[in-house]
Amino acid sequence: MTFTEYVQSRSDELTQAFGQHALVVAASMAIATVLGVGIGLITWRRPRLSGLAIGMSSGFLTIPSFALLGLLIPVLGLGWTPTVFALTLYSLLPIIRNTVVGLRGVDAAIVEAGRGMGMSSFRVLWRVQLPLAWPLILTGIRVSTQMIIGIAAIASYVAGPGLGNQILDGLSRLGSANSLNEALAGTLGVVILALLCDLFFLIVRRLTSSRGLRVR
Amino acid sequence: MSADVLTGTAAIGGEVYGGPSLRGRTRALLRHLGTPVAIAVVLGALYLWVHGLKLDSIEQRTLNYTYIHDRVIEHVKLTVVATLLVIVIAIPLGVLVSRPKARWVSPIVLGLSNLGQAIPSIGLLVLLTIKFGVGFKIAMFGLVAYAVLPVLRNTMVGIQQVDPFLVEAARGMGMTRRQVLVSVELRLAVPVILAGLRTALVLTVGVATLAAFVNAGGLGEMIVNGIKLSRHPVLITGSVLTCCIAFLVDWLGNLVEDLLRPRGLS
Amino acid sequence: MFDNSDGGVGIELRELTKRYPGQSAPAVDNISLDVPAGELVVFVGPSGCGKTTTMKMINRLIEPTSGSIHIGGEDVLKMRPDELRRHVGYVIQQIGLFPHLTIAQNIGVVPKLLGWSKTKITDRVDELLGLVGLDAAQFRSRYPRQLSGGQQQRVGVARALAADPPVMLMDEPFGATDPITREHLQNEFLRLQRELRKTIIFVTHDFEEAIKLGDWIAVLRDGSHIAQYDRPARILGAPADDYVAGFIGAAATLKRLALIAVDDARFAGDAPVPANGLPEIDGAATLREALDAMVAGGTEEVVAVSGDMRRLLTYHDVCRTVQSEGQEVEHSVR
Repeated sequence: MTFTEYVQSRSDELTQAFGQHALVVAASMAIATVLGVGIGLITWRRPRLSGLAIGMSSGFLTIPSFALLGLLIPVLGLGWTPTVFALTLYSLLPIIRNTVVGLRGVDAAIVEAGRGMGMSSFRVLWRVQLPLAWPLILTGIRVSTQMIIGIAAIASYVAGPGLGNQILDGLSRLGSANSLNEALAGTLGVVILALLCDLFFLIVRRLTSSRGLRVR
Repeated sequence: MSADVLTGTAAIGGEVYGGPSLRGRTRALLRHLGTPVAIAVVLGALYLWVHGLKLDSIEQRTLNYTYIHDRVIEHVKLTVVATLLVIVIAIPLGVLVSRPKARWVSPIVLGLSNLGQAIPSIGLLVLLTIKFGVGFKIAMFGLVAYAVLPVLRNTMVGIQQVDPFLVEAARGMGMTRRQVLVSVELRLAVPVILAGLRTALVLTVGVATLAAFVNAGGLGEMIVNGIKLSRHPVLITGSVLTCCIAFLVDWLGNLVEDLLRPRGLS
Repeated sequence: MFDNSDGGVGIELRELTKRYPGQSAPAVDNISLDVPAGELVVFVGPSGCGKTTTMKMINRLIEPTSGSIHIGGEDVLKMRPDELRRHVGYVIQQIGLFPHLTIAQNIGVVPKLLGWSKTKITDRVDELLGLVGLDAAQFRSRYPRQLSGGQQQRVGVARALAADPPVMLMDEPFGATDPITREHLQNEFLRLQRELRKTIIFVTHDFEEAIKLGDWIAVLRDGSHIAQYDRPARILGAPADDYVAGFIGAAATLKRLALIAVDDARFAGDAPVPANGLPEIDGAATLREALDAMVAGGTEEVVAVSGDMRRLLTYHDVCRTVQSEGQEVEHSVR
């Protein structure tokens, strides 16, 4: 069976795996974004706290993904739960870090101008600082997404959903006719998902960041 | 995976260099002491815990000194050899593509390194295995292929971000191109190159766990066995040991970065 | 490398041209110019006129398309570029101090390239730091980022002087500093140059700076064409054409000159001068008129006559007056 034939014959299965892969990544990213931006907002004014948050989240990132999944099994069992948990932990660093850097990077003069016009500090944060920091925060979210799309493939070994199962099936049937097709379909699926996500973020960036920041 | 997550991010803490105060020194020392102490504590706790367990025959087969020792050695060997190969391949290549005449290559390298990050490590390893068979060499090939791009990218970027006026000043003083490269460009790129190397090293420790899938040994084997046989002590021991290696390697990288960072740079 | 025995070497540019591929007009078009030994020539002109390109061809950071360059009679284009540059001091606006080297190491770069001994380099570094007004003990082992902009630029000058090159090329060296620091650096540099008598090409777009520092000024227009090459006094007093006049007009110096009376000038000495054929000018006249008289008489000195006092007024006196007494200008107008 050629690769194209394989993809055609298994299109339902592949589409489902693709969808699940996207879903588990999206779910993890949603949680991580809320957590990460939240932590960033709370800590960015206090270097000690933001340093701690960034240090801890970069510690998570040092943990090898397979080992983290292994450590989560005794606590969370197999399947979606450990997968989403692990992926969320991995996504935190870029989001927290870019939120903190982005907010700190807003020109003090602009903030002062806002305050001087009588805006409350919350309003300045919401109307001035966050929009100005947003492109950088979005970059953090994009980087995290790219990263966990690959890690999610490993999570299939702990019964996580998604395209990793295709890859592992290919491995377990080493030597059989379809093993290469399976592994290739899984791997290419992950790459395609990553590229689509990049495109998605490109569009989101266009739509959500102030035009004033883009024009030169 | 955990590759350069700081892409597109400004550096935090651009504090101005204020001379090595005694307090700063002590602090740095404490920071460097913390990790090994923590690792030692975790390993001690792991030992005591496993020691207090009543192990069944399956667990005994893996939770003994010889088995663990062999897996750790395999894991470290995979990591170290892969990293050495990456250094030998990626840094000279990075220098080469940073030369003005090769400027047109740099967007290609950046694009490739982004695309390379999108390829899942497990997919790459499995594909290599299906194509070329199992074993140490194949795992090694996968590890190197995966870690080359971030180091190559950082070497290139590290050299390119050196202030062009420094290069002009160096040339204007009569340094040869080679002297400019060695004593100005590479020296100033050291922090960026080392950061890339450290990322690659930690990455490699992680990807090396997957070597178990292609029968190349390493601590991944313990994790796989622990999951397959539902033996949590085996699973946890394998995972914790892998984590410890990762943190140790990260710590070493940090230490080297601090030691080799040119003084005078903030 | 260059024979320096007779007190400095001159620079000769002959039909020097730089043409970049794909550009119709040459960046530097056929410039010929002599820089006398031990004197400072300022290239002044708007940005993009080719003045920096012309200068960079002299140490061959840019290779000329055609023409010739001689320093002290030696053909620069026949030398090894790296070897050449070790004997030509080079200072740029961005300074380009190496951030990973100490001040001493920065200054010692060229001597080290030339293979000097360690002790000789150390001695030279301390000597140079003293020369540019920095305390050697204090600054030797600091890093560039620990220095202010003005201090960094002094180190930049010291570094260029390190191997005692007979020729220096300076590309807007004080351009990035604030006005007060710039004034300070310029004054110190003048003092230094009076002592060292290097042959210097100094590029700037600031006409005031050109007047203040230059022994000669070359006003350049597009393609590095020389609009006028002459003594500052001549350029101020007798601009060759509208282009040069426009350039001067932009400078506040001349306006100031017209506001200061000759009597209020800072005379170097007030010994009475007998009638000696020098042009004479009334003490109530302005310095502008005094300058015109100098230009008309082809001299740099006039005799200022107020009542029965006859004092010698030199071009330098005029410059000093204009530079140092900005505040007193208003006073003298009232």
